[in-house]
Amino acid sequence: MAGQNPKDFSTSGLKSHGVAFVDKDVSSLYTNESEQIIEVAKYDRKFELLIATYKLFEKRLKNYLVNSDPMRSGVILGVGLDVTPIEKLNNYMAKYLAESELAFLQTLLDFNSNKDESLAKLQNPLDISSIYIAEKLRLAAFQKTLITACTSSTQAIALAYKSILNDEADVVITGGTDSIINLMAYTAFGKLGVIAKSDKSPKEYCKPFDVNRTGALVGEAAGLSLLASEEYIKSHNIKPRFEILGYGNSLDGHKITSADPSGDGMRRALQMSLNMSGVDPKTIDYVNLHGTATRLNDELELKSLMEVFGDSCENTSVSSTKSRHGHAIAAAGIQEFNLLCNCMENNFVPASRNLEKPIIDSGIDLLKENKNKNLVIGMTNNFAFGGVNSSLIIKKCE
Amino acid sequence: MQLDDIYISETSFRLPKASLRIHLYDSLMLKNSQDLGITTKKFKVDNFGKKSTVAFLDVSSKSKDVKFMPKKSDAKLMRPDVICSTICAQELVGQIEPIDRPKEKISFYMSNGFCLDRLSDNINEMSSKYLKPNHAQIGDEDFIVQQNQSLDRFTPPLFVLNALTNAAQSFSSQYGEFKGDNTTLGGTSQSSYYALSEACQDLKRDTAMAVVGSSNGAGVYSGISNQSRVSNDLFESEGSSFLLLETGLNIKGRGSNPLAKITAIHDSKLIPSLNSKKQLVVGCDFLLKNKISDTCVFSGCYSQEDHALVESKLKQIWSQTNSTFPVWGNSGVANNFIDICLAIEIMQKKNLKTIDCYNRDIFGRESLVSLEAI
Repeated sequence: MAGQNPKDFSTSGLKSHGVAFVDKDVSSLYTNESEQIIEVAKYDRKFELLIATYKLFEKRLKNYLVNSDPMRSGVILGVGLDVTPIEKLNNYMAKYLAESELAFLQTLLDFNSNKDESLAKLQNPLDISSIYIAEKLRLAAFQKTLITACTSSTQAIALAYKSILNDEADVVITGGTDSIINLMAYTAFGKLGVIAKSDKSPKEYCKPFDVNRTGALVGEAAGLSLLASEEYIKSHNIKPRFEILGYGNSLDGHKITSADPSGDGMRRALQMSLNMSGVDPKTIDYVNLHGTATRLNDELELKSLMEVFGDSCENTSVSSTKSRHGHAIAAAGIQEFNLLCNCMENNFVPASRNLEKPIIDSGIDLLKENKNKNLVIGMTNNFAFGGVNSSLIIKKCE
Repeated sequence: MQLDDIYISETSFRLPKASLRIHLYDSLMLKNSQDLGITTKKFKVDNFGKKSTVAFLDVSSKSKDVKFMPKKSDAKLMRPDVICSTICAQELVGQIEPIDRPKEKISFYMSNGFCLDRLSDNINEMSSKYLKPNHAQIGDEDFIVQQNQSLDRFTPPLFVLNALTNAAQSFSSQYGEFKGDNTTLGGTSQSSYYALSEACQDLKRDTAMAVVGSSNGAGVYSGISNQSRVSNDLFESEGSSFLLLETGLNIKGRGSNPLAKITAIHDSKLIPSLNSKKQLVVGCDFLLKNKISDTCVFSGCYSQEDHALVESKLKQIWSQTNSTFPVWGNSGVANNFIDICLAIEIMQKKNLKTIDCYNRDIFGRESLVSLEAI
């Protein structure tokens, strides 16, 4: 749900307010899990979102994997930073506050210690999601976890595609999960100056590509997608929905604090994606932009795209959907990839919500209003802190 | 995966008190970290007496690292393992003429371990400030405002960048100028195997030069997170390690002499488990099937007891086994490439034709990298 106050903590006194969160209680989806998994999920929101997503798709995924070879089946997920949800540790922490300067670490020890060690609630926070999926679906080929911040799950999809292309696997579950909707992360991202500040309702204040944009709407998401080789699809009688045509990955090698203002890294990722796909930019019907609504990035992204696409982008429809669902950081890639697929299936192009005064008014179809359009080839781009640039091009299967 | 045209042309690494391959080789004569003058710190990692001993990287501007030390404005955003990665990245490419470095086409795959250990003091301070007032006041709006403002005040402005999971990749790319296809994998030592595998795939396809790197944080946070999978006291260290990989054609083109050839990489294809604390075992069949040498370098042990057990198992497979564990313990993601550095040195010193490098991660996933002397 976009632009609401967070459930687990108050933002009173902070400079930013509002988040886009999954407003359903997802815990009912995994009640049949082991005590340990349930405890880990209570602590680690991104893990909780991942297992809830898995449970929603479990039956379908298992159907697709019937008669698959575990040694030729893998998982690659993009995940976010280790979590420290201090608001969930209140009860554990209270007894140390008066006397210990190391209250947080003492709290973690208490929280995690159990005579039955298999019940530890705190586990390797980066690997648990991909291992969970691998264990459920018997995926032995590999269990990879990518941690390139906002490009994590975009790169996960790209590397899943690469592994099939290189004949390392027949089928790969890919996607990612992340949530920075906890007080410490929210405050830390706020201090970095990337979260929108406004007196308006949170539903209105994230304005990608608007001259009055002030920053991102904090989000959370988990998503999965199944990629398979052509041979696997044929032999398993699966009707494919989309074909990945290519991807691009590059590094700015500039600064951790900001994207390369020349746009060189972004352009190289987009060009690599076009080259690998072998498509003319003219044939790309819609581009789901990264569009975080931060000052420099939005401008740079549009400039880079227009430079790479050249004269052919006059009719290319582009928008950012982050003002609707927020910025899910490491899960942004899978969230926007799945959304792109859904839009393409419905021939629907979503506008950038809250866009009133676009930063450019010609040369590209930057959407202020939703529209219906036949969508055959689509592109989705994500760019991360640290100068990582990633792009994917997909085609709708007939 | 069998490989026939992938070479290691440069190496660079940092461990506490070690930065040259000869240091690793010499450490094989030592029994523990004290023998090398490494200062370690002990942390409690559960409430039942289990501890973790940790050796930390020392990044000193007086050391030989000064030549490649990042700018002060960047260094203040870096964890010590990230600083060392940045130094390694520069050292790695320092020997190559700029004309021979196609920076936009150099693939760069990193693996990264825990990121929060050196920030645990910050986290502790932030969380303590947040909760310090009287709990009876919870729910009071004025109190919440006061709490949040206190947390905001004590949150370092660049905390997100300090904790960033791809910080080592970002700074290494900036200073080493690797700008091609890339990713950062996390967070156990298996991710270094995966990074190497991605680089090898690129080199087999259409890439001439690739860098693989690793950056490992260690401390109380990693100890607490890993303790439930290890029965005894843990021993670990921070570290960074990098390899420059090239195709034979590229090496020939620039008239360089490679250090070793990678002939094969394999992993055990084990499906790991979250639910049960499985005994970490050594997959003898997997190793017997894939080993090419009578000598191995091994890592992926978590305690002294585990090290002794693994060594005894591996001695049934290889006549000669070597490990840096007695001195540095487990250096997580950095282990795999450090093992390769040591293996190269052993091949040179002992005039061996081949050597195997074995690693096992905390979830029991095993990998084997086989090298051939040039």
